[in-house]
Amino acid sequence: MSLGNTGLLNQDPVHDRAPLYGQLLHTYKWSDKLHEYAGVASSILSSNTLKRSTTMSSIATKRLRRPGPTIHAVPQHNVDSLVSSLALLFPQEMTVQLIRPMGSSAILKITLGQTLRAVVVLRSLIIEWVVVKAISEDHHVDDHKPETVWSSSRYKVFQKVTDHANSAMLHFYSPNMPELAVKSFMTWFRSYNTLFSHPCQRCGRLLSDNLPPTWRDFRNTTAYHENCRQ
Amino acid sequence: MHNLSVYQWPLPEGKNGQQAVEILQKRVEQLGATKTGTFCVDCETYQSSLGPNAPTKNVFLVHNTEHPATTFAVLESGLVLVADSLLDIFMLKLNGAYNLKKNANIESKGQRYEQMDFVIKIGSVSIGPSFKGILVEVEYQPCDIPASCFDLMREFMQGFIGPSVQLPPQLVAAKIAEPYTPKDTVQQYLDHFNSLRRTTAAGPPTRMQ
Repeated sequence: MSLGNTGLLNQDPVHDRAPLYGQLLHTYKWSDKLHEYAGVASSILSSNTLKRSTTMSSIATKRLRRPGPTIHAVPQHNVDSLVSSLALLFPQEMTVQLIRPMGSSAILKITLGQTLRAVVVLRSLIIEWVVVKAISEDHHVDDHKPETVWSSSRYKVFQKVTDHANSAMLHFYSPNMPELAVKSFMTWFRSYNTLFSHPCQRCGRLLSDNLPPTWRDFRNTTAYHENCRQ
Repeated sequence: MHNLSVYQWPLPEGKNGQQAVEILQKRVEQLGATKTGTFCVDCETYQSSLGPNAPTKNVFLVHNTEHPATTFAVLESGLVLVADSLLDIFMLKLNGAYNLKKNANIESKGQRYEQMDFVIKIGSVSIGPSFKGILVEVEYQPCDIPASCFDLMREFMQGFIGPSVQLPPQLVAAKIAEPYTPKDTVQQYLDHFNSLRRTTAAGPPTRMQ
């Protein structure tokens, strides 16, 4: 392969000592691929209607630029009122407990029926961390045992649900409407109440790879196995 | 504690206990389960001897390798006492009031397997040297409520036991909406032990493993 004049580099007799041309080809391919991936990503992202950040297109809007989102510094009582409204969302199935063991950051301990427990770490109104564990596993979060927030469940099924909850946290993330993001996440998360009893929408079975349907659709919360969701 | 079901597996025709266990082990291994050691659930029977006219009553002392530091004492009425393993020594002190019944020790012993969140135990039951039957224990660890996850367990068990598994064990079915406890495991084993005691050996007397 020859890249125009740079092909002359290949004629360099000190090629063995300075493999410049090989590295150049490698760089060229890399940048070509980057361009291609960026093109694909851009077409996917432009079809997504829910914008996560506001883009100022014209000069006029630049002048009238609003202050940037400040949801990372929301007063505590706003968080408290959001959490108390969350507790009222699904009083039968979900209990939400708020604690602040490490300063002002709120940690939500969520118990979903008799199925699972989750620890959600909030930075103001942004969900920063989600861990899902079994009811029987240790959830005692305090200053002396902060590792319970960061350690993952010992069961494969809850490790998988934690992964999916993290992807949901990113999906629902919306700095312009933080309260809606948290509420949407909770509504989605509630569907795990039937984790062990709801068969997969696609294959109609409960087990696939010895795991129950761990995936819940973001729009309609129907249950799927991880492999069945495409 | 986790949800668990114990089933008796009937011997296939023309097979002895050892061969039947091997068939079952092979099936489980083909499903991809990994061996995680052995297990043993044993049961000693103590009989009350309070006087010549007093009716004799049994107390069953059950040990389970899943709970190595615990002894479960079960009365005939079904009442379960969960105690430290020192209870065994205490029962010896009660010699005179409660005597160990000779040749009544029954145990289920065998291989323990794990597959994802499931634990499978295939035990051959024997009283002394005589083989009595096979008990298969399947446990689903993440869920405590049998009502939520029994369908899932049934699907799993049908993979190697066969379509004969349809309903949860009687004891589990009775408390299907309540959280499962280790006491329920002990009672399931005890029920099976008591029914297996009454049966004659299902195959030629062979000592398993």
